[in-house]
Amino acid sequence: MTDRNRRTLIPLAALAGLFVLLTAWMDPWRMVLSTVFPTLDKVVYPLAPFRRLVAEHILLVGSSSILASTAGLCIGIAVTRQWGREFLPAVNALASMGQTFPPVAVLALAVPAVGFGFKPTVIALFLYGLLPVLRNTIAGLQTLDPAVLEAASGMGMNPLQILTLVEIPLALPVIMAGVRISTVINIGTATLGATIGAGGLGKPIIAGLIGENPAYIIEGAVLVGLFAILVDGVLGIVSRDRADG
Amino acid sequence: MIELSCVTKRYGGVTAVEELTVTVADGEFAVLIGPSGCGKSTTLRMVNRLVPLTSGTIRVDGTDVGSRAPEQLRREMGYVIQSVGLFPHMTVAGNIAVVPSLLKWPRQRTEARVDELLDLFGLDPSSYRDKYPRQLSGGEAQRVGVARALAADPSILLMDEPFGALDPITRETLQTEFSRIQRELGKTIVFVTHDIDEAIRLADRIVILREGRLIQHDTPEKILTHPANRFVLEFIGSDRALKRLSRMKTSDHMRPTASVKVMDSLAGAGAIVMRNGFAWVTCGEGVVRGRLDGQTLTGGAATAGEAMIPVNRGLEVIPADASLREALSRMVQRGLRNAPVADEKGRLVGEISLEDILEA
Repeated sequence: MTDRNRRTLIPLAALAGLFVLLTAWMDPWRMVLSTVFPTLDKVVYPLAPFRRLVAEHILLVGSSSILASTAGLCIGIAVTRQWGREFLPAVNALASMGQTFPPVAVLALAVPAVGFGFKPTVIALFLYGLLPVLRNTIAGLQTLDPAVLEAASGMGMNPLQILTLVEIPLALPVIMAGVRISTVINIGTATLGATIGAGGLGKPIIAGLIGENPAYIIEGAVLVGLFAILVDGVLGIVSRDRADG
Repeated sequence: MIELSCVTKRYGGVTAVEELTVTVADGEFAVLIGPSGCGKSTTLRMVNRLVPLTSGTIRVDGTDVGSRAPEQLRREMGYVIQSVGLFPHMTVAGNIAVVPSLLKWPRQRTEARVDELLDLFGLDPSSYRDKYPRQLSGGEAQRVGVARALAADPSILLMDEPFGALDPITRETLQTEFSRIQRELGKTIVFVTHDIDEAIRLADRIVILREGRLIQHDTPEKILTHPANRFVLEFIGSDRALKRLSRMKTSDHMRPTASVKVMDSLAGAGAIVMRNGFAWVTCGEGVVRGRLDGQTLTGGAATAGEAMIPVNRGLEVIPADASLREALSRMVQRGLRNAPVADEKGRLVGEISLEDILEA
């Protein structure tokens, strides 16, 4: 771990502490929000403890991001190989379409197919998170120094060795940046899952919007925001560590 | 031994190499040279199958390279390119260890080999082993590039303009260093360049190509004295006599000379000077200090040391391993008809005159 990472670690640990505190302990919420909104009779979201909402949210984002990253990486590798190069333009176009397609529309379309809850949300988040990973994987692999690749094959590496020993390690910082963007976007987008019963930190936000209770909205939004900053920081450290060799 | 027979490479309708037949003997330093687009790099890259042949065969030690798995074949041949292509995410040691680790050498053997190679190229292992390529200068990077190609001790080395991207001074240093290393290792080398001076400096045999065809394949001396046609004549340039001198070592053309010691009496030294016309004056270990001739004898000094005309050791003493071209250059510059030749410790070993160089 480098010095720079050690310096970013301290604020990150403080944020993590705050996140855990606000997830486990309701008194700070009650204290602050009842002063801000004295007219509300309920200021803390009552239907589920925050730790369960956080766990649901992590599960939604975790499974969709792992799927999107794996798929993005594999497709990105495939279309930069000699044998897959002809699919590159088609894949680029498809992935961009996935990005412009609103997640709400994916949810609406997925519900009749797979029902309510967890599954359609993961599908929507997967499609939405695919592009950043895919685009960065392709960019990372295509911008490698041709001399390095020529040296690799000239020294007798087979295509798999070139990929695993040279291409992926060198493209990793760019690929990891894609994973980071994708995951952070999905943390925010996952709140939409609450509209179709997937749970997560979207629940207090949706409930607050419907019941005109701004306190609930703030609770959900603050926790989602903290969670996104935390994950962004952690993935940043992981990718920088790799980049420094 | 590398045998190319009737090797042809076509890209679509364009012929890059046509019916090329060339043999490179074991331990030979062969240089492929020609203007850009003459097919020299393509030829080199066909030897390790980075470029597939259109027709013809290439045999290495009697085996058709087309019958070998490309990866196996390449691990047995070192490959060096102009842009070096060191792996930026690996240390110097990691880069050199690539082929040994592909060949699954035990760790200790690989580590010993890495240090041995760094030593060979004058890079101190303890300070260079753990550096990253971005911390190296151009010359250091290419030394590591060549070391990496030599890591698994291949008998063949393919080099594609390895020194082409370096500044002239670094290039010359690396050429000198590399020809020393080659004398030690005795590899079979195929070396591509467009620099005729580099070719003449390094090659045992030069293959001159033009538009994919063989124009002349001979020793540098033969090519300089008997160019096959106008193209070769123009390619080697109008100073081919000087280029030929750059292939000759001073020590091969110098002659024995008369010398006296600094402390010798002028009377004794005078006899030698009278017999020879002049004499070099050396101190105890034989290091050249000055020159005595007929005129200097008359000054009334007691010893040779007092009477001599001092010699500028940096400019007027020719190192024995210098080329005749360098010797001539120094003599012309200092206006000398003859100059002392000294070994690497500065000890007088002979003398060389303009006449000797003209006769060479």
